[in-house]
Order: sequence, then structure tokens, then C-alpha cells
Amino acid sequence: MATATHAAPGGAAAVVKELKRPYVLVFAFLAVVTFVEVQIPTLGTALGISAGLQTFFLLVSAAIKAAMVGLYYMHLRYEPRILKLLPLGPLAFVLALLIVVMLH
Amino acid sequence: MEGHATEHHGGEPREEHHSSIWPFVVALAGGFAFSGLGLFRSEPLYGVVLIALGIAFLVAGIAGWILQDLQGVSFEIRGRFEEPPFAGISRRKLGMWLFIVSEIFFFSGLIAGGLALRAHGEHWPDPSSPEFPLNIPLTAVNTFILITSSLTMVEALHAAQQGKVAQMRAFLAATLALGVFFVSIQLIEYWKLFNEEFLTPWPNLVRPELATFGTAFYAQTGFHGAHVTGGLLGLGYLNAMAWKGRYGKDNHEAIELVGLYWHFVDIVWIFLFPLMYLIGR
Repeated sequence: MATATHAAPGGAAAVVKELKRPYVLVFAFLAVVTFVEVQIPTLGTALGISAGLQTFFLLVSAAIKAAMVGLYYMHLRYEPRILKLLPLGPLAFVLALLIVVMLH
Repeated sequence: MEGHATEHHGGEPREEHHSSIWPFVVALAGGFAFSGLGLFRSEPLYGVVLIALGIAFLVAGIAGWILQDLQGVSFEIRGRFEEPPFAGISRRKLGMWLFIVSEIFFFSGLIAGGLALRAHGEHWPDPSSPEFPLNIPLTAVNTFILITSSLTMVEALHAAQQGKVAQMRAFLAATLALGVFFVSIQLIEYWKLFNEEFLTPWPNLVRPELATFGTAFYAQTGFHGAHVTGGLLGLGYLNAMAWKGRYGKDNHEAIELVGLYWHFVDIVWIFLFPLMYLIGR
């Protein structure tokens, strides 16, 4: 991993370490999973995979892709813990909404 | 509005303001206008009044904001927090993350509304059926375009951090171009869906059974498209400033902030694409 140092944005004097990050690898992962997702409705029906299982796979793969974008492209993986936790707050709201919708 | 004297400028204490009433007025405008839209069909008079109030607040809010800016009031916030719990975190970055958190709430409500329509609507088209109105291959290409734009966006930031200005400009231009492609393809798809598939957000005589699906589809993809368009404005600004030599190794926070928003819009699409195009009921 190549390293470089530079002054932090905002004019602060702190010096941060930049690592060569796996942006292209993440892109390849996102592209491949998207390609697989697109095949699911046709392939799933042809192979007799239940609609419920297809939905489960598509939602889990979407969640993994979203996590990859958040962790690597939005740099959450490299941020302080408090910033990592910030987007988790509304996720509790998302879960509550999903539960309410499913119950009805 | 609050303010406090923080430094001397030409012998006079300079007021440094970090807040303004006008963004709140613009937010109220949104509240009135959307409430009016919601009421329009059942209570047209109240609906029109609320929409008119919304437009009036929007005009007043934007005018007041511009006027305040012209008077030289500074909204500039820079630097990092020094006290816990956000010690070391850029103030502007935290602001963008809080905005993104509010956007998560917004899209969660919108998507949950779509799921409720899916559960309660009489008809919901099956993606594996030939009757399915949406163009899955075209939108798969569009999804690929948006994912690629996230890569070019993060590469633009990386290039800026390393002081590679030419690369940064190229990646920013590529991100803008990919975003324009995405919106253009979505508009072409909308046109075809309206005119060839008769998928409308309201009931129509040709395919009335698609009304519920159409409402959910246009509401969710439309708001997403509006967010992408907003991101394009930010990207246009970044591109212009990059060509003026504004950004480089020591000044690239604006690229990071617009990038955060752009990646968030990408994440929303990562969920909307399977929900609207690939998952039946």
C-alpha cells in the first residue's frame, strides 16, 4: 500500500495519512453483484426459486452494496467512531418502518 | 439570527455569523407546498392555498437569503471541532453527514410508502412477466452508469488529495457527464413509459390496473432523479471551480462534501433499482 502525507482539509495543521484505497475493487464488486441481481427475476423463475427467496437475496445484496459504498467511497471505514455511528441512528427508524409495513 | 465579534478587521470588530432564518423559511415553504399537494385532490381549495403559501415562502426565503448574502453576512463555517464528541471532525463534513441523515429519514418514509402501496394495491406487475412495463436492461445500464460515477467521484477526491490537478479535473468532468447520462436516460424512459406503456402516476383508461404501481414508481424514482439533478448542480460548481484552480492538495473539502452527497444518492438507487424493477409482490 502506497502512503502519502498531506495537510488536512480546512486548513488545519494536522497531518493525515492517505492510504491507497480499493476503489476499483469495490467498483468491480458493485458491477458484478448488479449484473447478478438483474438476472434474478428471469433465472429465479426458471430455476423455481421462490419469490420470497429472490426478494431476500435482492435486499441482502442491495444492503451489502450500500455498505460497500458507505464504507469505502464515503470513507466511513476510515472515519472516527462517532461519525461511523451517525448513519446508524436513522437505520433504527428504517427497521421500525419495515416492521410496521410488514405487520400490515 | 445570532452572531458574535470574533476578530478585528481594519480596526473594527467583525461580526461572524453562522446562522440564518432563511433556510428555515425555505423548509417551511416545502412543508406548505407538499401538504398542499397532498390535500389537492380531496380538498382542492385548501390545497391551492397551501401550495400558494409554499411558493410565497419559497420566493421570500430565497430572496431573503440572497439579500443577506449581498449584505456581506458570512455563513462560512470552517475548521474542526476541538471538543468531544466530534473532536477532530470537520464542521462542514459533520454538517453534510447530518443532512444525509435527514435524507435517510426522507427516503425511508418514501420507500415505506411504496411498500405499503405494494402490499395494499389490487395489482402489482411481476418483473418476470412480459407485461412488465419497465425496461430492466436499459435501467441496468443506467445503474451501471451511476455506480461508475461514484467511482469517478471518489477518484477525483483521491487525485485532489495527491495534488494531481489534471486527473482531478478529468474525473470531475467524467462524474458530471455520467450524471447527465443517468438523468437523460431516466427522462427518455419516463417518456416511453408515459407514451408507449401507458404507465402514469394516476389512473388512465388504457392500463388502469397500473395506477398504484405508477404512483409508487414515479414518486420514488422522481424524487431520486430530483436529488441526482441537485447533485449535478453541485458537480457543475465543482467543475467550474476546479478549472479556475480552486482545488488542490491543500483545498479539496468541497469535493469531499459533494462526493458524500453523490454517493448517498447512489446508495438510494442501489435500493430503489431492485425494489421497483426486480422485485414483484
